[in-house]
Amino acid sequence: MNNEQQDELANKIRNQLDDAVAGMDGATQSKLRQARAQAMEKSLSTTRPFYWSLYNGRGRRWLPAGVALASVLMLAVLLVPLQPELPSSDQAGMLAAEDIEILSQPEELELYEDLEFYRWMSASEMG
Amino acid sequence: MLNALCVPYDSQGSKDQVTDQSTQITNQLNSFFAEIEKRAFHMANYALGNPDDALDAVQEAMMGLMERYTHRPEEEWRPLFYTILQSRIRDRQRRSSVRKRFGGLLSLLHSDDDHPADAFQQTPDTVVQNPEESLSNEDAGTAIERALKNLPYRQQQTFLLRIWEGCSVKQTATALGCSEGTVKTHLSRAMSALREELGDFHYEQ
Repeated sequence: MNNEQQDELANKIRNQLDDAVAGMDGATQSKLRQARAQAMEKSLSTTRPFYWSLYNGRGRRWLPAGVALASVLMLAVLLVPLQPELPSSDQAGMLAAEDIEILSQPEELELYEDLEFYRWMSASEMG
Repeated sequence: MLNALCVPYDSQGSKDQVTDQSTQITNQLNSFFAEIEKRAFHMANYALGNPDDALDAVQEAMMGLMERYTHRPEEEWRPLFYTILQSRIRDRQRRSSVRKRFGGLLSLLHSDDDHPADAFQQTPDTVVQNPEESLSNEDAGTAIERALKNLPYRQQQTFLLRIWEGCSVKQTATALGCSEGTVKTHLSRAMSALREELGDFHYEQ
């Protein structure tokens, strides 16, 4: 089949198909319209993000409560790090043990108590 | 685009803008689907041979386009839509063939001699004309429809996408999930088969 014959056949079939579409029965056209409407409605409801309901409909009335809750949560997050850091129970235990050790060594305490005397003696020896 | 819906709520102005955009997109899509749906239905019906299945496939293709590709430029909607439609058609064909296979197995399991073949069904129909006679008596529309239905799926859809829908070779290849060379081969074979099937009828009209 040459190109001319091929084009002629293709045109004939194309025209016939166009006629079939133009003459589609009313029932099928109606079903197609319904299918399109359903597809658009379903797709829009699944495509919309959750906060789309804030724009329209019932979700709008929950907006003030949501904003208030978010504010409280943000405040809580900001305030927690501002509290002074207290030593943990393990750290407190270790500090108490060191204190007891120092207190139980009297000679070292005497050194600290007479620190001024030792400084005077050292200075006079050098002089 | 529908992604424009995903803009945070900030002011009345932006809300109106978003609503306007989404309404515009929805209207564009509605017009696009209204323009394409009849041809899409015919294509699906040729492939599936069942109007209800064809309707479902078209609806699923519409939903697929809306859910995933509305952010793409409008000129891409047509090839994308046909790509999704072809995918849905193939899914349905696969499901149908599996159903037939299981149906065949079940009928083998349930076959017994209690249900002999219906004698009426076995009697040859002497009124039926041979293909040549049938062809000479039917109108052009019926003959073309029958010839298209007789084509193998890929040849048939290649012909419809390329010749009827005007898709490019590349778009057709994408829609059918094959190479551009394969599209050319399918189209050539489809034309030969149609010429052969329609025969002299084509030149008599």
